[in-house]
Amino acid sequence: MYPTWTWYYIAPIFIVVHFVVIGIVVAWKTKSGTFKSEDQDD
Amino acid sequence: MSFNMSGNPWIYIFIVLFLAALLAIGFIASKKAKSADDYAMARNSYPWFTISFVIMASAASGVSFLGNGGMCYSFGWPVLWYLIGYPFGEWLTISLMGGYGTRLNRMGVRSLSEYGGKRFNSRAIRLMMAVGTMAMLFSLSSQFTSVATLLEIIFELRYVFGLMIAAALVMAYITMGGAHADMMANTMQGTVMVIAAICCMGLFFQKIGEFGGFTAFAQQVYDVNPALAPSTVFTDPNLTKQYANSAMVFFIVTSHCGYAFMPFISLRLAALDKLENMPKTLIFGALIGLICAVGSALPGLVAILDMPDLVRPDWVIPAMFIKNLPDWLAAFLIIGIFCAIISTASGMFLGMAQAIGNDVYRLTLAPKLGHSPEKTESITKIVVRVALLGVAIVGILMVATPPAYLSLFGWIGNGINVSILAPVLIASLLYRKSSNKAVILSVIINVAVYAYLYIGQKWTGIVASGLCTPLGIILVVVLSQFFKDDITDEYLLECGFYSKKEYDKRQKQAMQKA
Repeated sequence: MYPTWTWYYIAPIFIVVHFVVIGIVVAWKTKSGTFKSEDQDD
Repeated sequence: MSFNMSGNPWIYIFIVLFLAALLAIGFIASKKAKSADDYAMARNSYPWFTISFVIMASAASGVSFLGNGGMCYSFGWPVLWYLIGYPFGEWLTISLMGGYGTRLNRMGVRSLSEYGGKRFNSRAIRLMMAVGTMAMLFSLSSQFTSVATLLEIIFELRYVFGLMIAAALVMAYITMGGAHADMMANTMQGTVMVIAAICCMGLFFQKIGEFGGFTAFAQQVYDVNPALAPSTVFTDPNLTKQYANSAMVFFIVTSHCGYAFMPFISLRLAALDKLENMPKTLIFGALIGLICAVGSALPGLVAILDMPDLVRPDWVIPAMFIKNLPDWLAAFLIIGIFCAIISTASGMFLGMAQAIGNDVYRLTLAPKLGHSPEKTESITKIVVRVALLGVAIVGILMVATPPAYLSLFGWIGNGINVSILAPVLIASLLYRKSSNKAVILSVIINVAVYAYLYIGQKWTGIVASGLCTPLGIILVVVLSQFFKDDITDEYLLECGFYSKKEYDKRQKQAMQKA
């Protein structure tokens, strides 16, 4: 019997993880002001 | 099956267009590069999508279309771990680096070694990192070999001539325009690579349809060899040869976290026009990075059934193009492979020439020789250009006899870089208390561990680097508890590592603690 838990399911999950994790990091960095130039800070 | 494309007129048309575009870019870039600093860094000069394309194209070498496709063909579905894991590791790290490019600009540095030396106020660290940068010669040589072998296959051109053509091509436009030429050429090449990767995906799905859909295809692959099928998930115990166990997946991600700090990748962040555009750069980069990594290798999977008797797995992607696509499209996609190779080689070229011109002459010899700032700048320009020629000659000589295993050869350089550069840079950015003595010690230990694993234990470069990257960071953090330095927040503000705002924030935190 051909296994059912295969790359069909895992690959899309990891592609979603790729964007979600990077998205969270970018959102966190943006919120913490890392991507604000100094002249904007003042 | 013959790969010879000398009878396909489209390949000549596209090659002429490609060469003309590169030379035109070199000419335009030479007008833009006003000073030695601009030539090296092209600071704050390019929009966000350009930076995304440049970083993606610099990171994805000829290996994307040649080696990765070959791995898919030989090892099957489990290689998807690698294809998904490496852009994830790279773009996650670049995202975590955040405003790193702004720091490079604020400090006015022109190389990663200069950055490391300034951040830790240490000439020894600068020297170690410059040596690490020069180790890219191995990776650069493997890019030359990729071009030469590709030309050998499709035109039956002699290998040595192919090497010379590869080196001359990259030198021509980089010598003219420096970082500006690298930026513009990589934008064009990155665009072609993404189109090529999307075409590869189309070819993959078309072939899957011809085999009767995913399930029928998977069953047929399973019948050929169960280890190649999509059902092989976390089951292969062989750490260094397969891509199907969880430790390997972890090392793929961590090794590429370190890889993101290679000079030809991370220095390009300094060219972003406005820091506010960084989120767009990162998200778009993560998208095209994934498309290019996964898409470019997918035809290798369907080739398991479509071309079962291929002698050289690395040539599976060009072979699939030639066998299955119209002449014009196959020729265009072959140019996509050239783009992938040249775009990586150009950044490496520039990074090494800068290590010689900037770190050896400008920062070390010029002060000793008593050269004035004006004289130093003008001589730096000459030294960098001469260094480009020197790097090309040494690079060719290193692979005059083609190495038996191209990716292993390239990873000698990548591994040394990842062992030396990555821990220093990551520690400097993420852990304020990291000290220069701890950094020097951890680099020495890390290089020894890498050499032991790579040479002694015959681990692949990716796996050894995957272990050395987190190990280096842990070493810096732990050793910094025992070996302190006297670097103050005032020094970091003065050298430009801290912005005024960061400095004030730290002072406020210190006062609150007190």
